[in-house]
Amino acid sequence: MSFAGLLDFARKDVDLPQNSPNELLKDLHANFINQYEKNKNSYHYIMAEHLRVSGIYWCVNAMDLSKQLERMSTEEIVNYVLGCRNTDGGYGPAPGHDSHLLHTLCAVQTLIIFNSIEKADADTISEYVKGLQQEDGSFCGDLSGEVDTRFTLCSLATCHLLGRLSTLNIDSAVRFLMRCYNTDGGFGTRPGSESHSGQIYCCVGALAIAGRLDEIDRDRTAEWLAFRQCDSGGLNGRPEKLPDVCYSWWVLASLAILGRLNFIDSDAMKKFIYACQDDETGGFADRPGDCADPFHTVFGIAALSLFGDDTLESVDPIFCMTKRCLGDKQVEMYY
Amino acid sequence: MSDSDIPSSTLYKDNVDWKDITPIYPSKEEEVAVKIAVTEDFTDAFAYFRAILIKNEKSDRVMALLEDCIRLNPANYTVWQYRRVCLTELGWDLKKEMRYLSDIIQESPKNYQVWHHRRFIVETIGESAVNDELHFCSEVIRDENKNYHAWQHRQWVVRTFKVPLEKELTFALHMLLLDNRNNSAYNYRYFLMTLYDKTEDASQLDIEINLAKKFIENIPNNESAWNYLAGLLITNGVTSNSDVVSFVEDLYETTPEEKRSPFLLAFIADMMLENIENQKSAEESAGRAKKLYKDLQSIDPVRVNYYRHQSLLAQTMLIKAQTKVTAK
Repeated sequence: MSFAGLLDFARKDVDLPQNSPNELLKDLHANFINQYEKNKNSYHYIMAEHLRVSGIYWCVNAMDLSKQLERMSTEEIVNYVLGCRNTDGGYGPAPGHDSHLLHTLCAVQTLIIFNSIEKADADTISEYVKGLQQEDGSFCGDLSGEVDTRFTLCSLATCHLLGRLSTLNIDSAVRFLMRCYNTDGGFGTRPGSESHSGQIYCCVGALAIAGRLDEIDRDRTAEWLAFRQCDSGGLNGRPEKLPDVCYSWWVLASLAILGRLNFIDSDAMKKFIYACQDDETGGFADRPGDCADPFHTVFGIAALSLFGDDTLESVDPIFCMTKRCLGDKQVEMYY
Repeated sequence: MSDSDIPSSTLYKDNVDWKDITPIYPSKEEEVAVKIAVTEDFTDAFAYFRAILIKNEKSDRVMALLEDCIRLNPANYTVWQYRRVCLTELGWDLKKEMRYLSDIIQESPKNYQVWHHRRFIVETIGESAVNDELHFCSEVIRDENKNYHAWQHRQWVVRTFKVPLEKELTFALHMLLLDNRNNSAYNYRYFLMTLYDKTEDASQLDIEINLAKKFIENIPNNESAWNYLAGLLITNGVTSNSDVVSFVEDLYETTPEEKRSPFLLAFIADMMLENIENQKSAEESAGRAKKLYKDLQSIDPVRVNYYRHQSLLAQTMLIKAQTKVTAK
């Protein structure tokens, strides 16, 4: 037997510590989100100015999913988000910063969560988004010209949520997405790029919004996603990478959109997500024992909600928002 | 370094060279809406950055300020964007900028903005930057062999400047020899085939199939190698190459039952599904597929639901095939 053969079954994974939490510490998480401003340094990076509107969405959404939205100060947050709007119609991460699709979507999502979307101008926002669509159907995130399938999801989601999907050239957007579709069933950031769970979520979500999921071989994509589950129960983003709570969301949401959520061992998955909770401060980390932050907290909670946790609001797999706040903006899906 | 070597303050607000600028600190409303704790040098540098943006100043001292801002927050795209504007307008030494970028990337290789900036510089320098650029990608990839940005950047360089196929195939092979499970390297080989129109080229396909077989023989429990093999056969199906079929069957026969990899079993099961679809010993193939999925449920229990679904699929396909035959 070759040396490599000895390592035959050595897949990359983590061990769950024995004393890990084994249930959802919901109240602790609400406190964690609510009090993050008092906890200096450890995660200030996540709320730093350059991605603050996204940070607001993560926090607000985590609270909405936890049925604790009333603990957030609606008026202040809505006014702050509105203040991030630029004259080009898009939203920046903070007042005075350039517009970017990532933050434009997060601004729209936050306003919808607070039932204040009428305060935004749907026409100028959708025109801004339209302006970033390229001739090949792809989208740039901002004027710097970086193309990524993430921005396709941002664009389609933003315009869908505003009831302006027809502003965009959907056919060419779908053609570009399909150029990023790989032989293993996954999607990458651009044509030729490696399959990655996060990008699959973006592409599958965008195809669902466009009503074009039939373009792909769902079983092939779902199979690749099913193989993301490690023996610890956690999900990884690519073969031979470590599991991480945020991939729980991206993989599970993709499978939910494809109607194949049952491919995952939900008990093992929940055990992994529970173990990533910090039972002192609240919040979720990427893996057991690491430092908690709002980003992994919202995706940990959202992933648990997909499995139908009664203590949580039901989450929409495409938009990562409560079905309650989306109402008739949910996308109808046929399997 | 002793204390006396450190200036009493490194803040811009205490620096005489910046006396002419009035810093712009975040407003009260901003602070209240999302309270955020940042360090003093962060607040200081960005207050001057805001002021510079409004003043629209482009100068050497601004370049230094931007470097500070990038150090404090390399993911801030507004800073990078402004740096590009300054570079162009100041006629900045681009080789120097490349060296600076290499350092930043070594520190935070996962940052989107840095790579995007690098692409802008390479585009501006043109052809003469290619060799250094490939070398730089190799270094980052050697450090972290699945670095998504570095592989993607290399694709861009190769596509933009038409780097010869052979050279790049060799690089990917080298990376695969160092780690047979490196999915990024398999993906890169497929990218090269697509770029040079080789995905339907019989001799290139043979080379790739043989490579996949070699790596599977070496480590059978290697998801990436199996996926690569299946991907190469995507046009005509996993049973379309008799050489592959006998390789897989031999591997199954010669491997003791308890050592058979789930990927091996799943691949054969896929072959069986294809046989059912092609009405090739449909009933026998369905029986074997179901047996394989049953074995998979015990050796890879975390995917038990998936294998159950596949088993049901085999049955469904069989009934479809049988009713088709009857309808004739």
